[in-house]
Amino acid sequence: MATEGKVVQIMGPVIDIAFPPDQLPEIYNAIEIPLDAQTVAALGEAATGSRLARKNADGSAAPLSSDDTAQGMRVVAEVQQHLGNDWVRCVAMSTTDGLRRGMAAFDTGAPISVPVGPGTLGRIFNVLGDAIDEAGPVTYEKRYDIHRASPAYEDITTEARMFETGIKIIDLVGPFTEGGKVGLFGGAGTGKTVTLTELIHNVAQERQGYSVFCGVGERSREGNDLRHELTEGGVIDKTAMVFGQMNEPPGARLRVALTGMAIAEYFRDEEKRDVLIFIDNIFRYVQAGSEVSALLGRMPSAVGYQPTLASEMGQLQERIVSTRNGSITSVQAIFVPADDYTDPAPAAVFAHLDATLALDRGRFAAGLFPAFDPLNCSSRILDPNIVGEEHYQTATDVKRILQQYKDLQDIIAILGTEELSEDQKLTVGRARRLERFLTQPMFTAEVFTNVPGEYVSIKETVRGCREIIDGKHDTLPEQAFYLTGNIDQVVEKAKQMQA
Amino acid sequence: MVLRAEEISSIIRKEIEGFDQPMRSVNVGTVVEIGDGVAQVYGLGNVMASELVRFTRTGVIGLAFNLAEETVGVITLGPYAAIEEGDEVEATGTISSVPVGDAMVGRVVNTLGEPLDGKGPIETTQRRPLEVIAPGVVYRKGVDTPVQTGIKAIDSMIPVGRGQRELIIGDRQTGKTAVAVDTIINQKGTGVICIYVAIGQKTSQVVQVQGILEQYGAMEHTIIVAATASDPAPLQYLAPYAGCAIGEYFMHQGKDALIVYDDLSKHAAAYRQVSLIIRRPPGREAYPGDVFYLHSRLLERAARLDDAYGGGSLTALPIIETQANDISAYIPTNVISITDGQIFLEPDLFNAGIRPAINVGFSVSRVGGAAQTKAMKQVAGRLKLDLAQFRELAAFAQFGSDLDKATQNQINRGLRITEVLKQPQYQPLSVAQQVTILYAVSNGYLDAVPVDKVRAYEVGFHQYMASAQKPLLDSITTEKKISDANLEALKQAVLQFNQTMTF
Repeated sequence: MATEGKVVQIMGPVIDIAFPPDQLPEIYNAIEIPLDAQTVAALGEAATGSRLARKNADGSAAPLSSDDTAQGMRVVAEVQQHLGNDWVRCVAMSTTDGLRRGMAAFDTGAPISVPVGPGTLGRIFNVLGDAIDEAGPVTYEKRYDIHRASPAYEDITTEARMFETGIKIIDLVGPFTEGGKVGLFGGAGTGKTVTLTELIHNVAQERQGYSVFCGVGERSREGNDLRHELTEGGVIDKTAMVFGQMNEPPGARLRVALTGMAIAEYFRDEEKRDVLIFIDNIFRYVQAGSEVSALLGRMPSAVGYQPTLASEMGQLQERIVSTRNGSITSVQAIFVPADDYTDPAPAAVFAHLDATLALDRGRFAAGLFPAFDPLNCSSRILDPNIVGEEHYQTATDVKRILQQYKDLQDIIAILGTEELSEDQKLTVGRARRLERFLTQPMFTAEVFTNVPGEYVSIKETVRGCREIIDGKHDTLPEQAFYLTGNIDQVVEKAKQMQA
Repeated sequence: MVLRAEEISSIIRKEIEGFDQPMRSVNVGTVVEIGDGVAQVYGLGNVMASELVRFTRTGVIGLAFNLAEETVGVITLGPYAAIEEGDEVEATGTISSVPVGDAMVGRVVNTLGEPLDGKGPIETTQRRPLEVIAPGVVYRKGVDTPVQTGIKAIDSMIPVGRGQRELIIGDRQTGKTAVAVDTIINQKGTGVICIYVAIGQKTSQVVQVQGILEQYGAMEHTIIVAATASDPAPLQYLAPYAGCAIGEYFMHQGKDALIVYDDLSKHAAAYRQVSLIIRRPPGREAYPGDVFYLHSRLLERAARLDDAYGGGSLTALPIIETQANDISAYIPTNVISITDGQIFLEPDLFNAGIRPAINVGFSVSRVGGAAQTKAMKQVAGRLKLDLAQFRELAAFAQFGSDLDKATQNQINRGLRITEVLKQPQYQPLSVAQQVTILYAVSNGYLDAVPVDKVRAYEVGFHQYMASAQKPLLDSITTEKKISDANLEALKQAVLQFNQTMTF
């Protein structure tokens, strides 16, 4: 019999509940608060959360099934603190509108748990592990608690093998590690999600392994787009999706990454597979934490963030790791608020990553897509012993030339290119050609550019850059390098332009 | 006087029989503290979170937001100066909501849905809650129908689809409201219901917008929700949710609606005020931690519903006012990260005579391309990329004299395209008109026209097309694409017109 408590305080997403003495739920236990008839009546259609009634042909609303209402008609909250006097403080996973003091709350005796295993593939879940794709019940044999310890020291393995993404600029200056962690940093609207979708297109479709996509506090529309993308690519049945998007209250956004991780961990630990996990966007996890932090009674830290920012991030990030059982390769998008890389939230993520790629607003405005700034991209494995001398040297040379161009830009802005020495003019010309060569039409961005996508192998990328650095293509018009695939296509395009 | 017992008892009996007052439990409390629009109320034992309450003596409505063990924090949604300690407060049993319905169309209302335009009461029967969780992932459908703004630069390069959220951002006096108003005007006759939410603006400006909409016959499909600068901050904070609820009514009817939030910077400021007064700790720029959620939960409610759920749509055009052109400030980047793109207006361009003053490089539409008509895609597919590259090149090459021919051509073309994309206010163009002029300029038929004559050329061109080539325009409008035959006809038409022009 579940212990029954009573709601005593409601402050936005934070609820205090009194339990009988000595029967307090443990921290992280899930508490269920069933909505009563009065609340449901007052909430009207808001009572079913983000679920909608299907419309009949004549436009009238079809009644919700009991399955629909069962999900909507309860509020699940997670215990965060014991306050003394038999009160516990909880964060609600859904809206608390309509709750009253005195309502009954039941301790479920365990943390939030979610279905794991093959039955999750092709399905869409919310933070509670409820399927939200209107595709019937999920078949599963096991549920995992969303709170799990990170793997033991002795089980962790690291590998140093590159895997190719087919995106020139990423493979060249920020190569991905098999089983490693990659961060895509970017301010608002600089192309994080498009790049992530392109990676799913290129990587998930090439590989045989399973993928988990975790949408944290991003647009709901994108979840829908992604589902179609995966269906078209034929990989939907190898992907599990978990969404706690920006329409959801902070509790859901705070815990949904853990839900995604639990599903991925099952594949790693029990099926011993290599898993890809995409998280869009890890910043929202921190943000959700800061939304509830003050209400939990914590003092604000720098820029109003929660004092526990670094340890919260550590707890999550340390679970995203490869073990002797299997690997987890993660790609995480990180929003940079106000384009400020020193903001505590993005700064806290840097340390956890094997490769970091930074998107730049200036490049975006100049139409250089994907708008990564090569000078701000780095990877742990960009090392001649791992990627090979040729790749390493080319990447270094590309960075050197772009840095020289950057240094000259102030002079050009004031005096124009005429005042440069011949050598400098040559450097500028090559830098501009390299910049353009490193742009790439993407499969998933065809709607924006109207140019069909290109996959370029790392060999081709290195060869192309090397030839440009060596001055083989100094005479081709810059435009020919823009949004093309490999260097042969550039030469071909130049011929057409000059004809 | 004689008292007759039977008469009295019959009266009493009658009274008792006639008494069918139902049992009514009233949930009441007492004000213990009031200041800055926030009251602490003792009692209200059974009140729900976000329930509306009424201050019995003054009739002012309030919102229960903080339910502590002993007291309830209430935000007042009206004049609070007359509320006193000890006043009675009663719960209403309704979650914060607004009246919605077809009768709202053509009216000006406040946050609570009460009419402000002096045209009498609004007859509605339904209410919708201010706050609902936006439809989830599977209830949505990709954007596939355009919202025509009638503005060349937007429809061609930053297209907006029904159900999209497109931010209009820029400094003050750069024409943000003008873009929104033009769009509302251009929805005339399309069946799209428009809602204009004014937040924290001066009342005279709202009256002016109403006047313009009336002048162009656009008030007939428009609802204005106004929470002006003199309204209490909580009303300003809730106004967009009210507007959204009114719009959602139409969306759930399977209709298309468009909502303009003018503007969300003031909305954030109003929320900051409320939030600081209720002692939530400040974060970046003193905004509370959940200022992102404030806007995300609002803008996520704009959606295109899947056909199984009625297929309606709510398109949102939020407006953000930047300071000193800084789009990478806190609130602007927050909202940019929520919306499906932004239209960035720049004072430099505005002053240089480029109106609408759209900075093409920073403006983007992430989904609208899917909604663009085929005809527009045919002529404007690469326009944005070309223009961005032209800007970059023009800046780089401004001192260079030894430019190769390809570069020179690119710059010349770019200058003319920029000129063609200028457009006066309140003069929306049809798709066919936009397509034909863009075809002419992007295919080089204007290369010989001096840059300062391009505007005149365009005016003449539209007149010529409307008079001499009407069937061609109609054909493009109905086919929604340019067939091979029409392409040839269009080319001939342009050449023919060019012959009549002398420079």
